[in-house]
Amino acid sequence: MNKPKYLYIDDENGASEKSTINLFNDLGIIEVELFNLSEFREFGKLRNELIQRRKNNAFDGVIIDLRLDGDGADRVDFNATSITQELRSITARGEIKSFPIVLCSTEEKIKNTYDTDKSSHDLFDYKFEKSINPDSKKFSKKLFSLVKGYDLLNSEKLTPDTIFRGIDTNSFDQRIIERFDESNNLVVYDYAHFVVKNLFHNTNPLLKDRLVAARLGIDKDASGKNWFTLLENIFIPAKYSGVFADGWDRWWADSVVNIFKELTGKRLSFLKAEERVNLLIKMTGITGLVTATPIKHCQSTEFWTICEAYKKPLDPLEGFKIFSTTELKPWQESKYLSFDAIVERVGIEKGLRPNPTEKDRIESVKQTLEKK
Amino acid sequence: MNIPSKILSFRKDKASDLRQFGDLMDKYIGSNISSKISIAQTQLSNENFIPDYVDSKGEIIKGNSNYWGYSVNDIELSIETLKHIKPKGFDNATIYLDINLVSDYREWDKINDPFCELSFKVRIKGINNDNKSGIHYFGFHLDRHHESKESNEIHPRYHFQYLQNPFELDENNFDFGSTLHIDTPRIMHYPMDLILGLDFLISNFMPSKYNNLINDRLYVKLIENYQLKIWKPYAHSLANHWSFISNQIQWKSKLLCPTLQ
Repeated sequence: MNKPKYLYIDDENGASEKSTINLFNDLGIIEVELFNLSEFREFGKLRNELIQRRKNNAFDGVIIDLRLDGDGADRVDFNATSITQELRSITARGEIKSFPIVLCSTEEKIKNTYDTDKSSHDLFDYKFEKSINPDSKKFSKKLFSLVKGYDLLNSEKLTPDTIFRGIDTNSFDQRIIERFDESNNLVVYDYAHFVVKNLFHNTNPLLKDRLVAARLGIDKDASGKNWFTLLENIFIPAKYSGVFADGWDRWWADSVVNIFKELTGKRLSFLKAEERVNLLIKMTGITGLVTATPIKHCQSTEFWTICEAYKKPLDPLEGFKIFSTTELKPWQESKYLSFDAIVERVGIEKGLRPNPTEKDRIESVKQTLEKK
Repeated sequence: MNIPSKILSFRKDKASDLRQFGDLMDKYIGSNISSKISIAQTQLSNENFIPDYVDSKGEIIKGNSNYWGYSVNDIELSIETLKHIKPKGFDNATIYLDINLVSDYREWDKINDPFCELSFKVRIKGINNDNKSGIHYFGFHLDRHHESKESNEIHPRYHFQYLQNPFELDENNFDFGSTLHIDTPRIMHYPMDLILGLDFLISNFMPSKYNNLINDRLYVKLIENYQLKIWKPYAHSLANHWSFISNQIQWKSKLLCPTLQ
């Protein structure tokens, strides 16, 4: 596939914007072109220009600054949400082919505008923060994958198999599958949004590799390459291979449990970390796997989740549910923080804080520890 | 596989009841209960899913479409009644329910045993902040004693048993504390499917949630239907041990069993 091309739409076109664009272009995974907003400062003009360019296949995706109505030289009277909303409607009607739209802004603006305007969260495929030194490798990988995935969704007949790729979905909550019923008239964006926002950004039915490590009782960092040997050899059938798989590494939670059961004959969730790891070493011969130990103030090694602040294994029973701006679906699992991360305020700058319903329990643990 | 349409439609009715029950769980309790219930729904609606059945000789019968059922593991509920837990110091404890049920379609509307197989296993785990010994376990299961198994101990067909080590941790290392673990008594109890089983757990371990649920007409209706199909045959068969004249009965049934609907 040709190098995907993104248009970068921003009211500011100073040094920091240009250096962001250069970082992407130097890496060479995707091509980013600064869109000259000064010529299209009216909503209708901008819309028509984008439609025309998309019709001519002049771009594959859009990176858009949140506050187009900010302080920049090319400021306009509307922000990214309204033009994105319009583009989503136009693509849904099939006038032009659907394409990824990625939000980019400073952390401060995201906090002040995006985080308080929840209705806009559904519009964008991905968001990254403008910073002096953005993780352009990571973002390039995601942005490349988004274009490739949209191309696939635009060209294939939309079926759940684009996502599930032969995985046995009988053990899934039926509501996950039902949403793909033909009668729902889903468009490309519905698929893309579901996969990235509902599947990749949440726990269950897919897991990030740290969650897989936690469930297997493994200290990922201490295990080094042995962890990847285990993951890429033994647990490879559990790896997500549907649309956008090259941008996001994920594993099917049920498959992980099943592979462990086939390998060892034991039910994963009942075992302590040491037993899980000993069985894995015994059955696979990968001797360098290191057993994870509990985070400070925790006792249980029956790990099933991670502390989102420390990224370390945690038994949910000892964890505290995290505050989330979006409501979880019944089939999604909550994310957790450990007690130590809460009292040490780790990750608070990233918005990691316990759900208000956990307040009493946190107080109770504090009191117990003070008595000791 | 070939399931006769009337049996499939019976199974789909059961799946639909579970769906309604799952929606009620979402509305009043939350967590992931409805998602686990959904697995049972899928098994009931799946034309290729026929549970194995062990006959009275202990032989496994596969693919007989009269048998229906489901098997779900790790349905999680948070215990509300923490202040009753001893030793002191628990601010969180979780129930994990596994259920495996097989029933014969031909017996469902009769005054007969509603199930051929039942394993209803409840594991409870709590972590004590106050105590160095840390993680504590408890559990119980409701089993249907199978016809094919012989024993010189008393086995009521459906019985409850307590489990000190429900996660079956290595017995040589398991800390039994100052308690004794004995298999008996096997306490007789009426059978429970997923709906009545969750009603049992919620009413016992989540009383405030239960009080909300029983104000919902749909919930009460579902419980009533399943008690009628599962408990009525049990209660009538037991009562039939003695002859009786129903209008002489003065004892109120709801006093004996407050969860009757």
